[in-house]
Amino acid sequence: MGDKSTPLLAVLQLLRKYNLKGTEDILRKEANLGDVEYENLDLPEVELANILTAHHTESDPYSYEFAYDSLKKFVENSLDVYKYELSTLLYPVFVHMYLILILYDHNEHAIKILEKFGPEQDEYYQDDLKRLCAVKNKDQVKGNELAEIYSSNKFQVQLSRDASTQLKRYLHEQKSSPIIINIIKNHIQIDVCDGPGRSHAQVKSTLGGLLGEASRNENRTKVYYGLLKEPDLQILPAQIEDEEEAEETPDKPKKKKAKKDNIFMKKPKSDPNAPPNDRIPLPDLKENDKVEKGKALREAAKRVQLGPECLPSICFYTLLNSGHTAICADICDDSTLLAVGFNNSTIKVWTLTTVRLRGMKSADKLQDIDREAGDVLVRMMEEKDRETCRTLFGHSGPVYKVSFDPFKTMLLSCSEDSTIRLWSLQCWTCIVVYRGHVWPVWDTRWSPHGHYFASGGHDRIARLWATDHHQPLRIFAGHLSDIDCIQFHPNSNYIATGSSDRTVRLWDCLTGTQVRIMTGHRSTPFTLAFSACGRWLASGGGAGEIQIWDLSSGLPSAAIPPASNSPIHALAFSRDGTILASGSLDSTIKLWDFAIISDENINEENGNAAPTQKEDKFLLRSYATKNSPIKSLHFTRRNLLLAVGSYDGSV
Amino acid sequence: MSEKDKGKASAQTKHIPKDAQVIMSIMKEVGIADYEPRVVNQLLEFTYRYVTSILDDARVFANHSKKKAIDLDDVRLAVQVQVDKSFTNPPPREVLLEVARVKNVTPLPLIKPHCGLRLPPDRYCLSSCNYRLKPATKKVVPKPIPSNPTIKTITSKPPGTQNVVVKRPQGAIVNVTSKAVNVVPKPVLKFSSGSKVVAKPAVRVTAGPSAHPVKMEVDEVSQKRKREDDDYDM
Repeated sequence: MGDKSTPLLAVLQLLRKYNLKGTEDILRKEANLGDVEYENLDLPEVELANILTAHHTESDPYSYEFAYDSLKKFVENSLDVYKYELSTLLYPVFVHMYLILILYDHNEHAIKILEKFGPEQDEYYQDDLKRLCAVKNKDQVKGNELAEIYSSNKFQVQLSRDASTQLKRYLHEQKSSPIIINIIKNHIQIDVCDGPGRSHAQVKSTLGGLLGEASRNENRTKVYYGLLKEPDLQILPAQIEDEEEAEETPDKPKKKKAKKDNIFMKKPKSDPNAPPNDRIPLPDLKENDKVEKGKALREAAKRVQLGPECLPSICFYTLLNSGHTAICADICDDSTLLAVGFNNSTIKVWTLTTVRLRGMKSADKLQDIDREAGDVLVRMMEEKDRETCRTLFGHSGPVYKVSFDPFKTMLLSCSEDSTIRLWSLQCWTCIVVYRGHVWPVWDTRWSPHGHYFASGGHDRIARLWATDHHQPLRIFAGHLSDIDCIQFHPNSNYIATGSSDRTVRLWDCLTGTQVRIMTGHRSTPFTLAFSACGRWLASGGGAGEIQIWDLSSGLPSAAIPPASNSPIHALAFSRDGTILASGSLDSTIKLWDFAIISDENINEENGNAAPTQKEDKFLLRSYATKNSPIKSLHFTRRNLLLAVGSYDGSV
Repeated sequence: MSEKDKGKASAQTKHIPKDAQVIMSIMKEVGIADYEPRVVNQLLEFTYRYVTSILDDARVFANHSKKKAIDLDDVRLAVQVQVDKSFTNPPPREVLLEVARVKNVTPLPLIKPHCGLRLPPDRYCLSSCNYRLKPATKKVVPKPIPSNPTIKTITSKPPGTQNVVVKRPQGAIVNVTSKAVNVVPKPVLKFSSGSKVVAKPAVRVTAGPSAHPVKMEVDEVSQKRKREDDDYDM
């Protein structure tokens, strides 16, 4: 009973593992443990205590405080070069000390340690500590999620070679009290890397993850962050031979042909960082989609070049009378439709132009239309049935995210009822329900090429689905806590997820493996955005900070500290990648100069550079709304910024 | 004046039952400072309900093992049974990693070319027709229904409160893979009877307050259904 049985049962398990039946029986007999495995019976304590105390270093609770104090002093007295790296050790050692004391029933000592050293830890760990201190005795460890994460996974700490030798020397001196040695051996993974010790800024930039920083090895895989080669969209009328993907453009008057050539005939240089087009199967473009794509490219040519001198205009859509019912919003790619998900499980779709939303014709009328006509897609819609707003019913819980597909035919939504629904924007009904997550789904996104979509939820995994399979194609497991946001890379080959364990991870769709893990957020990232070129990933967190990650190395390139403490729920890059817009719950939109960040990082290609942190350099402008927290940001094809928020009239 | 207020306030706090005070102190300890007063009531209700159900189960277990009084083990067992039912946690990380490893080995399936909407097989979609129930006899109908809705004809637009399910053939999307036209396939349902479906496509299945017996015309419907099935199997 008490603390004696736990090591005994562990010993029993060990004996069983090595098939030492005789020893096990003897031990059982001596310890009177009986036949049932985990039954606690009265034990003859005296002999066992003597045997175990020799190896039982944990039995001296008073020495823990002293050990931690001396570790702290050692860290503070070491050279500046090593100090910051070594100070990352303090928190895991402290947490594991607490857990060990609880495990061996020295509860009062545990509480004393918590009170003495808890407030000294960094503030982003304070929330974790609060959750951890709900564990007051051994039985509660099992139920507490955080305690389980800490006890079953090793905390990662990165040290330079010199710092680790210093640490080894100190631990060697401390041989008499092996507490810290044991903790480091069992619970902390020290990643030794060559090179000089990191500066304070460098260390601070990657702190914050639930289980420490990412090890170097985890970020070594090559990531193809380039964009896919776009299919050519034009045949010159003179040319009869087919290029591999050449297709027809819609007919246009001949005099514009020269201009067209410029847009469409630009053959991009093959990017060494771009994945091959067939790395993952992508849907071919249908005729209609090619027309749309041509339109999109033409609009892109007309777009405004943004920069520090030329800031975008912002058009803000305010949802009135939505109070606290509107949860999420999304605008489709050509900026003509707006969808909003509500907490009463409905979804409303509005049209943002004068073109109204039409329903499909009834069955008998559809039989009469000419299917071979060029504009059959227009003819199949019912003229008389037009509205500006349509409501979609079907979910049975608050709708947490809505997402338009890149071709404007379908809408995806995910909800607390753990289903993801696919809606048709032509019949205005639900077509498919994707079941698989058993817990609330927090985010779902379409791939930029259509056909695939991804979702992440409370069950800590992200799934990759295709519209024509009722089960997911890929499962991305590895996060320690629920996945709050998910985003596709512009080349559809990678998926980024942000989770409550304060890490952002990049997954490969082809293999399902994690290719990058990026720590450094002080709080949960709530929104992710890829830059237009695909090399950078921006993530906005719950404490209002924005981190910019360089995907080629997995290191943070810039960290924009929070202007206020309110979470950022919307991030958007301009279409040419020069401006980053962020919208937060304190009702402001801020524009950041991204060209500076990308230029700086291209110039300093050799790694280990400290990420830049000066906020004033980046902030271009800040726009405040009256009282509308920003829900979503969207750059149109011509670089006009659209923002959606609901007016909070209660304050 | 302020003393009277304070007195009143303290009198009011005295009226708050002890259990509610316990809940409030728990909230304070966890760090929640800002909450509506109804939250305390909700949490109290939940606590009472949970504890009584646990103790009930524990009593059952104690009786089963012929014990006079409820034991700690009984309560533990009851908690275990209850927790697995209502408060499930996502599976542990190792299980998830294993599942992911198995799932991610299969290569991504190729995409069928020249499809309209790419959807899962029909039984996983919500794209079939809705059924409509035909009321049995007129005189049993308690609520006034403007027209007598049958499958055959509809003469007028029925109002929203109708107790029938309207067929929505135009909403049905059939995966027609034969045609090479890259458009959204049109539903190819044929109707022999001159049934005009009036309702808009957004009308959903309304269960309706159909307390009166409704006889479903099985034969006709099943016949129609079979024909539609043929179309679907294409």
